[in-house]
Amino acid sequence: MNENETATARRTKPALEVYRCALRNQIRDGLLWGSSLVCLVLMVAALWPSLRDSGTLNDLSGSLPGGTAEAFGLQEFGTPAGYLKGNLYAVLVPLMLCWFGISLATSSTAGDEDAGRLELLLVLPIGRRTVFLARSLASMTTLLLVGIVTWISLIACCALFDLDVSFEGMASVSAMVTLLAMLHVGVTFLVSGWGARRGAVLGITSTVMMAGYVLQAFLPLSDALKDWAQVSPWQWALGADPLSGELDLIAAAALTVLTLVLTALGAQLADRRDVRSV
Amino acid sequence: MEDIIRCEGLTKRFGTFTALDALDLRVGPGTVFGYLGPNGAGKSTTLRMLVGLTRPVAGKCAVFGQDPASSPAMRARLGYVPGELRLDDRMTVGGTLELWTRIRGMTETKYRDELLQRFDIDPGRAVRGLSTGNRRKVGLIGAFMGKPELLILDEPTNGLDPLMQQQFLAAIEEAKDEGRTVLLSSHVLSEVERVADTVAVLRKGRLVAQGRLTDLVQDVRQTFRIQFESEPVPVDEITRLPGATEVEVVGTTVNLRWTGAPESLLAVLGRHRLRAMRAPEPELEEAFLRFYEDATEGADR
Repeated sequence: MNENETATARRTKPALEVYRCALRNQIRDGLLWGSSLVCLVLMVAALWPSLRDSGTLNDLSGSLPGGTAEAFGLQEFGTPAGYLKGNLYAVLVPLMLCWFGISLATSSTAGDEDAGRLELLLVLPIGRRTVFLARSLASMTTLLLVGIVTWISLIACCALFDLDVSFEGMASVSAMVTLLAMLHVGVTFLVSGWGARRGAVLGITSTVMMAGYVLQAFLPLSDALKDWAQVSPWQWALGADPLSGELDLIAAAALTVLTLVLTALGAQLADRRDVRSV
Repeated sequence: MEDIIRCEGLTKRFGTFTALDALDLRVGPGTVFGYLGPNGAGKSTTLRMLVGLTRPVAGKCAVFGQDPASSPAMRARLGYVPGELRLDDRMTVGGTLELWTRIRGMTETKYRDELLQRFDIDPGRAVRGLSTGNRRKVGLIGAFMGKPELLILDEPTNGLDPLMQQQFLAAIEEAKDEGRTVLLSSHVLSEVERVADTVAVLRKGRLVAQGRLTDLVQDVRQTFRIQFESEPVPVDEITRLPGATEVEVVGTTVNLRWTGAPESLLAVLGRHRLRAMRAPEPELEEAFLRFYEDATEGADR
């Protein structure tokens, strides 16, 4: 091993240890959130055959004012894709995944700092930026695993309960909601890196999350404001209706790049400030 | 020889509160350096800056010649125990130490295992169920296990039972014998007195005394217990001496406190017949309290 390889190994090995440790600590949370998402998908999918056969689904979406149905993703509620969108992917699944990502990232940054648990890690021979980046990678890995489990459960449930949705549509919507949640992990790392305490981080990031949803859901109802919906990352993720269409690669790239930029910025900010004492 | 720790004009403010005010501090290699001061004097703030957790608003500090906040690799050469020690409750003792071992890049774990035995702690125990003292032991093992060149210890024996305090002092003495440097902040003055060569006293963010322990205690009031052969004892002669205070007579014995060189007292005693005289070494406690009292008086003014 030459000198450069040794230096690289010296830098990457501690990062890998921090990553592994953070991942181990998040597994239990991942299992709990993964299970609840699987249960949700299973419950919604299991109701489809009886609701479809009753013939009332189209009546339900038809009875709502046009704007309301659109805001809550209830258009075409009588089709399999519309049913899944209205019940799962317009609000609930992205909201749960985003909140899961926010709580994971907050716990591994501002939460640990407030509790004084970061101090002993940050006096070891490892850079503060490396610790933050390794922990953000661990949060995103856990989130990705939960996203994959939810996607697999969707595939299984659609097959089991006769929901005719394309494989590409299921993959696209799962990818987009996971990327949307990862963006919120990035926002959390930015706010934590800046130095906010746990409560403030949760407050700011959940406001960002809800603001994103509101902009995407309600601005399109106004002709004057509908173009502003484009500022919402929810619009990037779900605006092209990924469940029934193809993956919007540009939107996916935008979400990914923004996540990386916010995370890197958070790590940089964390590196330049004081670590809070207990 | 190059200083291990060197602070020049080190200043730290939290809002309008000045925690450290232009601190100059130098710690040479192989020294056990006692860092003393009343609560809120700025001891922990100094130590946190030396390990790179906080940054000064003015001045600079160097550890092994490098800025601790921007030199993570340098931190492989130091071990640190914080005053408020918090461990990850989701891990075990062994898991915690193993993580630190791996991040430090240590390949030799014999000394770590020896410390686990000496501090009598089971590596399989969950951190969640540990008492304050046992958590402190884990922190101490983590700091000592790599045999770092510099140990920075903030109130390291808080919560330790007397037996474990002895183990801690033995580990410090081992480090001292091996020529390693220790910066020890402590309220337990007897332990500082036992292991430290040099001490510094901090008060309101400023250094008020620094030097060898023997020099620091030199000016401290000495206690004398003088037993005369017979009554009457020369109490008036003694009381008139400028260095004498708290003169107390019990039969043929005179107890008193003395400040300064004792020549004039010895001159008086030389004119009388003595049965015995005791003058125990002044304790660091005395010196510390003197600085502390000065601080209180200063604050009152």
